[in-house]
Amino acid sequence: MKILYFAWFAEKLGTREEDIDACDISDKRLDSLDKLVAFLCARNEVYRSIFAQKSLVKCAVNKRVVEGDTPISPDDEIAFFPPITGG
Amino acid sequence: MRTAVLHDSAFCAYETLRLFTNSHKHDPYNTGALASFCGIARAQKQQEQQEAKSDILQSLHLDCYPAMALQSLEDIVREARTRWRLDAATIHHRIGEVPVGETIVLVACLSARRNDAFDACRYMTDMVKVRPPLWKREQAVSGACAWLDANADDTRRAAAWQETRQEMQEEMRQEEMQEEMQQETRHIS
Repeated sequence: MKILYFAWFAEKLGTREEDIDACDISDKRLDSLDKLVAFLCARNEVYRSIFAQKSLVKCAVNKRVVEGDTPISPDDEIAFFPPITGG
Repeated sequence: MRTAVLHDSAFCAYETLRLFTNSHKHDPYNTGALASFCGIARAQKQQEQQEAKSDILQSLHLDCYPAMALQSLEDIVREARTRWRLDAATIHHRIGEVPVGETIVLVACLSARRNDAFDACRYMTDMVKVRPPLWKREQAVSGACAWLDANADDTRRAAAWQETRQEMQEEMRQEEMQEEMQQETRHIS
């Protein structure tokens, strides 16, 4: 599962992209966005600070913006970003 | 030809506009209007306090989710083409580091008449301000930099088009109903 971060999320984390492999997914059953966020937040304080304020976290699954918890699968591309500030 | 383009280095708005117009000369009988908007990076900060004018911007940095941004810009063009009678429409957007004075965005459309061209151009420009996944960071001459928040005025403008659309749909529904009633009346008589 490919995870992308943009704007100050990427700056804070020091990365724009990461792959979470199938082992993580089957062990932790990361089959929904909420579970993925919980999995990431369990890593460290930086992730927790990013996901702390829900209204400031936007998400796209396979390039479509989604609201609330959504089912996800290992082939999905998940992007997390702050509210879009446009062109 | 793609209807949306992302540029990671400087592009000339005039040249882009010339190429766009030339490539759509297929219907000189019909096309009578070209409307365009060109956005330029300016030195004034978006949320500037007037007293802090000394700290002007050197550049804007536009972070972007390219695949999704292209999709979003193409959606905007497609919507404009279904709402107004356009012969062609395009959006060119800069990403990455944009020095003050350079073009950030170019929106253009060709139509038979000016009203469709103006309205569609304004619609696409308003949508570009809120929908594609782009994030702006201001880089000041002093070295200070800050990510911008979403602009409430831009959000309001974009939402107003949604209301216009609902009003238009409501008007169309009313007209259809009136037509149906007239047809029924004719049928009875």
